[in-house]
Amino acid sequence: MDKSRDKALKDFVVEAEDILENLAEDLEAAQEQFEARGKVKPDRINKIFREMHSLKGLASMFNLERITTLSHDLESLLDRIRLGKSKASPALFSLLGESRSALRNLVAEAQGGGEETDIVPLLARISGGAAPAPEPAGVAFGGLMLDESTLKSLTEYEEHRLRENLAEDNRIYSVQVGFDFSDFDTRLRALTERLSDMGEVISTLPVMDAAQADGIHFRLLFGTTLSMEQVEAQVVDASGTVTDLLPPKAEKTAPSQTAEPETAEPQEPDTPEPDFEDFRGISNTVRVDIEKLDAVMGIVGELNLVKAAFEQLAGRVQAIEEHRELGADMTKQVRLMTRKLGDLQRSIIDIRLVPISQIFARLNRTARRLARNADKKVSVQLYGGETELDKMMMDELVTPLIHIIRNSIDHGLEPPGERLSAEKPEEGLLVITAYQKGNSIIIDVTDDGRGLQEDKIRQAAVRQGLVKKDATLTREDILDIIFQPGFTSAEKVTEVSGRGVGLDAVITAIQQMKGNISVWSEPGKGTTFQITVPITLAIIQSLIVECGDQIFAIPISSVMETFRTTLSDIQLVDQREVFNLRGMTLPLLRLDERFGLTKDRKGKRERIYVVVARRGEKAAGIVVDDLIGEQETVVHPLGQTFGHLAGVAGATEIGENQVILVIDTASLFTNLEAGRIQASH
Amino acid sequence: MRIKVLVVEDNNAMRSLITTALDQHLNVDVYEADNGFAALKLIAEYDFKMILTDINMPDINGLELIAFLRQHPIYKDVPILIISTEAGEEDRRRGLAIGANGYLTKPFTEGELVNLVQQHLP
Repeated sequence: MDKSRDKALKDFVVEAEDILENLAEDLEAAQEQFEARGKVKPDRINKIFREMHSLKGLASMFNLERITTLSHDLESLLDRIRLGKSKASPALFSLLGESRSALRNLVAEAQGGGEETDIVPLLARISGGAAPAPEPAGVAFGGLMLDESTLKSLTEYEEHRLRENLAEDNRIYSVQVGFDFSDFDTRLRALTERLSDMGEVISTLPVMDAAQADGIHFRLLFGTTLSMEQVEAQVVDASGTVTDLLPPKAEKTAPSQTAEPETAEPQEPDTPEPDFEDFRGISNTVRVDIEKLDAVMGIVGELNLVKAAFEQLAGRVQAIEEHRELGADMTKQVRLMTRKLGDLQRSIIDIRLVPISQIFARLNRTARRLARNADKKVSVQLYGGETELDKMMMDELVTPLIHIIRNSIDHGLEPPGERLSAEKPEEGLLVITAYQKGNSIIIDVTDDGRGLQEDKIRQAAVRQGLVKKDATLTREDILDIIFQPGFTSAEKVTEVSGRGVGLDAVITAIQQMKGNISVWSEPGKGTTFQITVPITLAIIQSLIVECGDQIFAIPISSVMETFRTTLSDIQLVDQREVFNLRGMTLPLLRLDERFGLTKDRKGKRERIYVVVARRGEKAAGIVVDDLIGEQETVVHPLGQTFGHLAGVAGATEIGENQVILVIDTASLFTNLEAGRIQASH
Repeated sequence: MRIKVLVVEDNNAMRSLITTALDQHLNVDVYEADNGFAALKLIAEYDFKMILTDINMPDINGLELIAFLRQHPIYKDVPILIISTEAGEEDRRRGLAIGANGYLTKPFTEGELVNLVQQHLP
């Protein structure tokens, strides 16, 4: 019995320490909010209440009297505050802070350590308590079209929050969302987090839907100042439906009564116009499923093929002596069609574009939270919010960007003390800049921290067996290491990094978007990560090449330059084929060998072409037989059977219904690396 | 086959106290969830004959869970017991109003827990 109690007591101490740790974080965040805005977000107060509530319940089960008494009184105090019966004040935060320290000491005592803590003075202060808040306005739920099951399952706190939202004149929406059962928890949490930035998710009720046995539905009660359309835009990916629970607001800005009519014309009778206008809706936008746009884009691609066929026909007609004039007219019309098809394509792409400011707020918030967790101070500056890119691309960009921000805050920015002694402002600077360059979007994430610590990275890489101990590494190599899978320089695992999701995840994500990432760093000055992605993947400009009697497309975004040379100019270094390009050693990859197209070497032409493509920080050359030209291509994924093939991004159609493969330079070069490592062993 | 009981409680030590007591004294299989979402997943997967739930939890709270269970074709009659505290009196009252069958107030003894559960076991 005693033994099991010992074990249980140990469980208690672990749990209590956990709770107190969270409590410290939440108190700090709440105090920060209070100092900045004079009030604390309700869900934060509620979380603090819940923590105290858990601690009290737990302590009472173990007959830990003093912890129970203190946490009980604090729980009641917090309960009054979260229900709006008492007000928060600066004194409250110092009281809560001191109480937390006392509780920590009491927990230490419980496991037989620490000094006797006197809680009597604290109890007295708590009962003196916070100033009572003005009587709640007593807003009724009048007019609120709330279904009974939602209303009845509201906790006292949720009901209070609903009243508060009504008192603040917020709109109240019922948002019904459905998710697949496999991942509803992560998706609903993400949605809730997003909505919480724009209002308050008051309650979350799971509801049965017999029609959708494999999924699960939730009905959220959401209080906000946003319009119905704005809320709908937020839940579109969860196939959400939004219902406004309040009757339409009476028009507050009624037509001015003071203005005198200028003429003596008989006035229209004073009966109000019927509300027909309301049905028209305020916004003249239409929401479209992006798949529909993809379908339209596909049709445009097919039209391009038809156009190419016409072009050829026109050429053939023109070649017939007696129809030359007719042929010339046809060619003219085909050119016009080409232009119009181009316009059409651009318009469709334009529909998919959204300003990047849509994710800026989220990045800003994440950065602040991460900084707080890491005990660092940061000022976040965001530029170029109006820069537009494909909605799909933007959604994909969020995670890699957050990883980079994490990295900057964790490893880049120094703790305030270290910054002061380095004669830098105590507050670190994180600048995120987005801009357009040609058909690409560039996003720079710059911090003014300590820069990449090359020694540390080298040591960590050796420790993790990524490089040999005495290997000579250039600066470029070192920058490469931070993108290696599994690499972490963290000596201990913290909340924000070192959990196995490193910068390698970033590079993979960016490469999947046919983008690139590079990094600059200066010791003591800071680091810049630069992400370049195409504005859209719906249509890409490709370089069409020929190799081993096959045609391939290489996305222009990854091509730096092309040149013509001869086989005899290729050199061998370390058994690898390289080319000396303006003093730079360019590793080469033969496309025909890579895809097993070469059977007979002898018949090969001496003249070759090299396509120089980016490979992370560096470049590599792809050897091909001929360059055919540039073309806009719609890339189709290869499907499950071939989708995993390294070096292939998908397939596309070019004229005469010919289907060709689109090269994925990133994964093509990954294999080049692997080949090198094998060769040197 | 032994009866399956689900314990929904976000506090690890508290949950472990409850599950240990049920394990030791009753011939039931105890499953645990540390939040409402985990509970929803378990509910879909197993056939529980009794559910004990806390009220104050993140994501979805105990009342929302009870309301859901009461409209669920399989769970509409399964006994639900609320684990509450004296401060949670109002919410406990609401829980009973939407169909919970009984409650425990912290602190409770092992005996009280086992007795109440036994009363409601089918």
